[in-house]
Amino acid sequence: MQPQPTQRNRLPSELAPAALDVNSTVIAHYARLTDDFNPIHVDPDFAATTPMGGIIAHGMLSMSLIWQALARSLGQAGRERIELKVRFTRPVRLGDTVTAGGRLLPDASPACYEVWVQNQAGDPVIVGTAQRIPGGAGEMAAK
Amino acid sequence: MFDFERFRPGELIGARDFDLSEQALQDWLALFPDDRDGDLMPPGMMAAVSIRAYSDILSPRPPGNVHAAQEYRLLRRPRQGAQLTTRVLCAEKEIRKDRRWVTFDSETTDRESNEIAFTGRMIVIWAA
Repeated sequence: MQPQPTQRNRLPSELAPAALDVNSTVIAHYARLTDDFNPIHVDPDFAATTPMGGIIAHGMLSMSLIWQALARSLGQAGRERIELKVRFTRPVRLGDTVTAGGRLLPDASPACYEVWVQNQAGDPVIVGTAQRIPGGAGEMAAK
Repeated sequence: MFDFERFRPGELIGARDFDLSEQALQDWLALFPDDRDGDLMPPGMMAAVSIRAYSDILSPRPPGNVHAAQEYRLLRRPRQGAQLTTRVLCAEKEIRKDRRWVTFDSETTDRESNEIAFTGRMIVIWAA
């Protein structure tokens, strides 16, 4: 079923950005939250010996910004009954600033956002889609 | 060691509990203060729950695994105090372009209601 025009019209065409400066304190905090102490994230000596050549952040750390962008733009509808699918396309390094965003896909039904996280150079580090899961109360709607 | 040969698609690998305590919520909000939403679990915390289960169950792992893709289906957000259980299973494995790809599915249930709170799918390039 096609979404009603009024529903689609209420959706923002772009998600409000959410950004994070990735430093060693942030990475260490996220490692504790997830209990993920993979040395590629937390051990600079080990990380220097890998093909990455240094510390990289947890991919899910940057992914969390997409949830923030959804919540900022869609309110509670951006926090409930959402399917998020992403690919990690580039490593995020110490000192990077990453920013999540998204764009409403024009012809998708039900409504679907193309989502991404970019680094400070504008290179995508995460790409994917976010879509309301049918059922529950109402369709994806602006806050 | 969980190496590629050990995985059997469709097989449950294990389950782990996670208590969504006030402390766990506060620890998350210390890093992501904008995520505060009353006593409801922020969506980003699904990663903390599922990755903890994955890391604990699949241990030890070969060094050098690459997290290639991730999916979540958020069905109902748990509230502070919820006791969650996450089951992790191997969904698929294949060798493609000389790389070992493993797909893990997870399902996190609120033990009080016995309802699924969220599910996840993690695709990893397995190192060995």
